[in-house]
Order: sequence, then structure tokens, then C-alpha cells
Amino acid sequence: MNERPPDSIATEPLPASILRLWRAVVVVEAAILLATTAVVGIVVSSSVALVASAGVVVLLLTAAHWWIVGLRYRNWRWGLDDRWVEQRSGVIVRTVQIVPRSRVQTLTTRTGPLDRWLGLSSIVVHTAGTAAPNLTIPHLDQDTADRLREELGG
Amino acid sequence: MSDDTDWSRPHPLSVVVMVATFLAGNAWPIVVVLVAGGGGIGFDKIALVVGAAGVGWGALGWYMTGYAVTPEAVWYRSGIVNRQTRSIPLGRIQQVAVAEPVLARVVGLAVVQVAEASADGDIEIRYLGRSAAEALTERLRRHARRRRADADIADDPATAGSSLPPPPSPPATRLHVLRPGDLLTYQLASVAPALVVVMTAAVVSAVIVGLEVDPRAAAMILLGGIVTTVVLAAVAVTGALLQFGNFTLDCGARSLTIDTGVLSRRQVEVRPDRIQTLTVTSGLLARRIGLHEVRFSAAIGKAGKEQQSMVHLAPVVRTDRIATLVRGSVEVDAGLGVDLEPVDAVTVRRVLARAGIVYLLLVAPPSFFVVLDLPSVAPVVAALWWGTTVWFARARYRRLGISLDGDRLVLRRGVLQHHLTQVPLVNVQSVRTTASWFQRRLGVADLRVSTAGIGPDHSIVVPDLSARRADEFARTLARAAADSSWERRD
Repeated sequence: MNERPPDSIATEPLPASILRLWRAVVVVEAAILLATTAVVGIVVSSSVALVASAGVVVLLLTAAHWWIVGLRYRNWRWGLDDRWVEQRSGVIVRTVQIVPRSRVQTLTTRTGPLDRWLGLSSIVVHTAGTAAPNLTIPHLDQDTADRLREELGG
Repeated sequence: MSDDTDWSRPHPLSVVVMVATFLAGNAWPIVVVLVAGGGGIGFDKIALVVGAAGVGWGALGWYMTGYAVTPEAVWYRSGIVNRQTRSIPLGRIQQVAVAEPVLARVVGLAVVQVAEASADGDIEIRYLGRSAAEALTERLRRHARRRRADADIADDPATAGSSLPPPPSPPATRLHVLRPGDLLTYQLASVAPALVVVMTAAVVSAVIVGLEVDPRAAAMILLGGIVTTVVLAAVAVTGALLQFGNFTLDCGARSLTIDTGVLSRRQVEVRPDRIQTLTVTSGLLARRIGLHEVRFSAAIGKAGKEQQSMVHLAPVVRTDRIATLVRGSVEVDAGLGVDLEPVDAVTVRRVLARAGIVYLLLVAPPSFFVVLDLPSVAPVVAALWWGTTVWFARARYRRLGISLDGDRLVLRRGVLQHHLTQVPLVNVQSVRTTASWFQRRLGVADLRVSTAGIGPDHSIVVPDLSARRADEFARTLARAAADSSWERRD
């Protein structure tokens, strides 16, 4: 699967800070889940072993999530050359999306609260006549987003 | 847009048609309310007041609605509380349609729909008098044609700078007239497989019931089967006749006009260069009697307007007429004679391997449990499963063909129903390949080619190509699409 066709273009990963953010979210979620499990377990069940095993399950799921987030980050690459924008992504289902530059109709920059905090923004590329956006390159750092917007918009 | 624009209102009778349409659409709850009101609680009076308020609101809505055509765009404003004004630049118009729903048609009114490619969709002006609708559509078409002609003249160095008037457009030629007999045959052929299933089920159950229970019950079942079959056939044929009766296709200079419908009528005008994909569909039985269906997709991005974005060039056409019809209307051949590359045979083996795993996981275990009761069933299930799977996989790959021929992509697919789709490369908007975990283990991927617009005809999926081929195709298509643009083609 790693053989590169001659036509493929140089791709870049997403900024490393987003992986840290994703992992932070995983940890926060795990903490909330563990706390909930502990509280519910103590209220509902008197068996310590049961509560402990529920906790272990939560920890295992968290580990899996941590790992999948890493894969998601590693598999997510985007690139731009003078002909098209390309994005490869996905863990279970892998997608390669290619939008020729002459087909770009609208460019949107989207910045959520977490993105703003890390100084990131997402670029959404629309082509003609589709309700859903065709390509979303998420969480780019400000310089890259500006460069991409300038290049694609120009 | 200046304030002195000449706004026009829809026809005053629109209010009546809207009320009638509402009543027709909500007939039974209204009847329930009125009947319940007969109990003396005064529901009927409330209904009357509510109805009067509704009519008043409708009339106010009519008063507040306006449309206008300026040299640049078509405008529409509406809304009583929230006012909104929408415009579509004349150069961006994808399709102009005049629909005459039956209730509007009775009082001589029509709806004008002006569609563009964005997700904001279309302007729908309802309802106009027939002559006003004709005048408006004629104006839009003339504008669109002139703007196009202006662009052509400006592009041509020989005439640049001179102010030649646009060349007069030649009269439209009639390209296709639907024969009612063909439509009837085609519809019957399309529903025939379903009817055969219904009849077979009826006959089988009648025989079983007749042998084990009661011959009279069997006769009733048989009768029920026959009645169902006849009703299904009648519904299919009547629906098609109402929708496609009086179908005609006219081709003028840079425009196609499609007229269709018996009770509710609809006229669509579209420029051939706005057509995104063109598909010839040939049904299992219909193709054996030489009948096919040709439709195209227009660039309409509004969700819920998928039906509008897929227009029939011909609901039924005979085999020998397809080429003439397509070439005459969109100036390309139908792709019928194109040499299509077969897909690599290794893929068939991979797909069969997947079928084998699915069999082991999903089909074998339940049939194993059945074996405990009926030992003879498991081999039958296995044989049926493998027979159909192998046959289907082979047939699918035998049918699947791709050609990247100059400035278009031609794709042939379908086992029971054959589809031949062609996409001008200028229309390709984006390309994507997807491969699930399982597909990656098999080394295959799906290729999806998207054109402008929404609906099933707008993005074409080639399933289970070898991953390498899918990637190659995606890149070749993207490169060809990037290289082709309307400016260069003009």
C-alpha cells in the first residue's frame, strides 16, 4: 500500500499541536467516564470487583482511543500543487480526495474555540453544486491556513 | 439593484390555487375537523375563522411577493415578516422550467422555476398567468442566449471590438416524440419482474393451501394474486402515462426544451453545455425488446430537488434512435461504440474471496443451525449462495468498463439493469477513492467521481477497482479535469 504512484504530490501532516489536543480530549473524556463509573458503581453496586473491572474496561477503551487518535493523526495528510488539492485520511475507511484547483468555488475558514486557543483554523473547500463541502482540511496553523487560502483563492 | 426596478406580482388567482392545493393536500384532517365540529362545540366556526385567516395571510403573502428581470439577473422577493430578496445572475442560470400543476392549470396558471447550481437552489415564482409565464421564460432565455453570444463575440479576435448583433437562432427542431405504445411496453417490461414474483408467490401459496386446506381458499388466493398484479401494472402504466404523456424534445440553438405531462404539465429548458452527466439505462427485459431510457443530470445543488436535477432526455427510446437523439441534442455521441477497458481480472478473484469470508461468517453459521433440523438444506443454501455470488461477481466485472476518451469519461456498469454513463471532463468537480479496512486487505478501493449537483446521477461510483488502478484513474481524471475548463473549450 505504500507504493507511491508517479503522479502523487508531496503531502504534509497536520500540525503536531492538534494531536496533543486530540489526546488531551481523550484524557479528559476518560477522566469524566472514570469518575461517572466510580460514582454510579458505588451508588448502584456494592461489589468492588465489579466497579474495578468497569474501570479497567474504561481504561482499555481509552488506550484504544489513544491509539486510534494517533493513527488518525498519522494517516491524515494533505497537499497542494499547481493542479489540485489532495487529502488522505481515515483509520478504518481510508479516503483520498482530489479537487482540481480550477473547480474550487468557495473557500471558508472555520475556527472553533479550541482552534482559536491553539491558533489553528480549518479550511473548507466547496465545489459547484453540492450541499456538503467537498473537502475539509482541519486544524491548520494560521500561517499554513493563510498560505493555502491565498494560493487556492488566487 | 436600484429602487426603480419594475417589480411584478404573481397572478392574483395564485391565492385561490394555493388555498386549493392546501385543501387538497390536507383533505382528511379538514374533513375530520368539520365532522367533529358537527357535534355542536363550534369547531366548524373555528375552522371557518382559521380558514379565513389563512386565506387572508395567503393574500398578504401574494401582495408582498414580487419578481423582476434586470439586464444582469432575475430577482425574487417575498415574505411578510421576514422579507428576503434573492437573485440569480442570468449567466448562472442552469435550467428554466415552467410547471403547470393540475390545480393551477385548471385556472390557467403556471409556476416558473429558475435553477442555479448553488445549494441555495432555485427561485420559484408561483403562480403566473400562462402568458406572463411564457413572457418571463422567453425573456430569461433570450437574455441567457444573448449573454452567451456576447461572450463568444468578445472571445473571437476577428470580431473583438466590433458590435455585431448576435446571430439569429435557427428554429428549433423536434428531436424526439414519445410513442404511447413504446411507453406502455416499456413500463410493463419494467414492472414485469415484480409481477412475476407476485404471481409466482400467489400460485405457489394457492397450490399449498389447495392441497392442504381448502380449494376455495386457494382460488381466493389466486384471485387476489391476479388482482394485485393487474392493479400494480395499471398503477405503473397510469403513473408513467400521466408523467410522460405528450413528451416532446426540441432542440434549438444552444437550448433543449422538454415538454411532458398530461394533467400536470412541465416544460424544462436547459442549455446542453450545462448537462453534467448523461446516462442510458437499459432494463433487463426492456433491452431485449430494444427500448431504453436516456436521462441527464443538471447542476442543481439544492437538497430535495434531486428529481428536478435529473431530467429525461427520453423516457423511452428505441435502440437505433439513441445515437441520433443524443448527438442531436448534446452534440456528443452516446458512447455506445466506445471501446471500454475491462477491469483487471484479479479483482474478481478478490471479490470472490470477500464473498467467501462473508459466507463463512454470515451465511454458514445460520445454515449450520438449520442443518440440525433439515440436513438437506445446508448444501442447497451453500450452492445457491455460491452460484449467485460467483455469477454476479463475474457478470458485474464483465459489464464494468471504463474509457477516458479525449474530453469525457464513459462508464458502463450494471448487471440486471445496464447503465452507460458519460461525463464530460469539464464537469468533473472532485475525485475520491475510499477503501475500508477489509477492502485494503483485498487490495481494492472504490472510485467516486463527482460532478456539480446532488442526487444519484451526480456522483458515479466504480466499486472494487484494484487499489492501484483506482488511484491511477483518480489522478488521470483529476489531471484531465484540471486541464479542461469551459474557457479553453470555448
